[in-house]
Amino acid sequence: MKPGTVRYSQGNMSLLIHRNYCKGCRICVADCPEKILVLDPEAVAVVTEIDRCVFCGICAVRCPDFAIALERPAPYWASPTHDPGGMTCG
Amino acid sequence: MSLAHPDSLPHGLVPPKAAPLFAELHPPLDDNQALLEADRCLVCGGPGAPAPCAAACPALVDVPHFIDAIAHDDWEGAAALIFRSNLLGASCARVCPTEELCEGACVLTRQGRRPIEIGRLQRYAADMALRNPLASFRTPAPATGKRVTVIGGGPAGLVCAGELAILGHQVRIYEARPDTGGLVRYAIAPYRLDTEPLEDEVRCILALGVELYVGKPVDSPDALARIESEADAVFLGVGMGRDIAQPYPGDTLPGVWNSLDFIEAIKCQHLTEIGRRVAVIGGGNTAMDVAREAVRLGAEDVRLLYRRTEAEMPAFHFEVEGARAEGVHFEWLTNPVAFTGDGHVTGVICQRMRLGEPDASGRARPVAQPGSEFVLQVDTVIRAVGQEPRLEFLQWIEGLELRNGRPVVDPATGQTSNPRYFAGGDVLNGGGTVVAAVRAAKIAAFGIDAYLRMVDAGEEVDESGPQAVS
Repeated sequence: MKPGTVRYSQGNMSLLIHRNYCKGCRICVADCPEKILVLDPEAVAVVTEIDRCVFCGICAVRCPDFAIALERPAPYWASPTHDPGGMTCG
Repeated sequence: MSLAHPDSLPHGLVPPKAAPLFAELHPPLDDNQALLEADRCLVCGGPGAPAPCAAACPALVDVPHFIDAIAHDDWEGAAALIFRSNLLGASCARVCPTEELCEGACVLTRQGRRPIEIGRLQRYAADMALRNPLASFRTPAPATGKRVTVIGGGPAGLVCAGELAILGHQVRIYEARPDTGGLVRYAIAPYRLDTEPLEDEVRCILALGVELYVGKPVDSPDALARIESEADAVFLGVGMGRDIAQPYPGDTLPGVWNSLDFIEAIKCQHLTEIGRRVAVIGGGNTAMDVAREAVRLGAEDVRLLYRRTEAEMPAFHFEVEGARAEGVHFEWLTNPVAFTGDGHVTGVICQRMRLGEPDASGRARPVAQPGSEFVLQVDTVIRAVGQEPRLEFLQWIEGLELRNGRPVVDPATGQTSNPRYFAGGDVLNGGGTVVAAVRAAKIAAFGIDAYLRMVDAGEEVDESGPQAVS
């Protein structure tokens, strides 16, 4: 069974793997700097230790099939310390 | 490592033409370079797993977020984040061994890619912010009425004073030299720190309400007693003393230098005449610095004499590589025995060594090989074999427990065995980095704050001092 999407969460950040998009190419497995991605017996990428994920997003960017996505709060520009000054649009 | 990084400018931008002498090792980024470099950052970091760069920073600077701020063209927000964690953020941006710390930890390096140039980005944001004379990134808490005296106006003393002032305490700094900054001002190789941001950083720290007394050495037990009587707690940021003076025959000849005097002469008296052949004695980062300065001063044959081998050298690996790439020759297993010359040094009598049993430091002890003496022709010799602890001064402090000439402190608070005295910086770890002093000073500032509040609350203060820690 390869249904839908799996969510791996660390606090308010998540890494999503759309299992039915993954073809098991191992690019994310090879590129993860923390080495926390592996293929499961169905040859689909899974996260082994989400607590070690640094949310660099390399897996999501490198995935040729858009099978991985990051969900994290906008890290800086939506934060209260940021004053966009006269730079806003609209 | 800039030399190992021929592509050290982002996106193939052409580097500015370098000045031949004392050109900066890491020149500043311009606006476009900074934006492009900041854009490369992946802004790592989860709620439970900090970004590797931030985890590697001794001063706990929030690296990904300040870089993200630069990427969004908000250098002021970036500088606020930097100075929140490190009051000497602009100096550290220039002198930190980033290859060993943040940049070495960058996730891009684990893919064989060039790391984000965190040091230069930090310098960009910090410099932009310090250019504004009204820049004020931290605001003091309401006054507590507690008085703290900081002895030593080097990096540790400045940061500790600043952090204590921010916590609302009344702080005064006593500095023996005519100006602040300690080794940052007087001893950091000029090719690392060209335009000093120190003046601006000191100005920001003094603006927090810190009183500064320069040219006021604490040179007698009476002076120390006076200081103790006027303060509720004292921070020792006194660093180390002079270069270790191992007496050798001929070491008073002109042309034989100690490393700190040599660097100060370059920086403050504009020494340039060092001749063609230079020998540097020592294997630490200071030895690498003076060897690379000698190359920049035009010496053709710079030889570094070290009594062990490359594997035992205390210098950072990338510093050794940098020196080698600039043409410094290394004479391993070589120890000086005497200096010769008539009116000026002309030669170093050296002896070859071999490695013996491990000594107390765990490194193999060098053993002299009799009959292996030879003479190295030189015009200048610079000794860089470490600094002496400030034993005499430290012994004036009542109940101060010393180990290897250094105060024993609680690593969580910086408190010494005399509960009113705290310490941090080179006085503890002898010859550490500026950012290590910043970290120790922050720890001590929070330790002093907790101690003063504890005294205030009438709680029993543990007079036995810290438990022994190694």
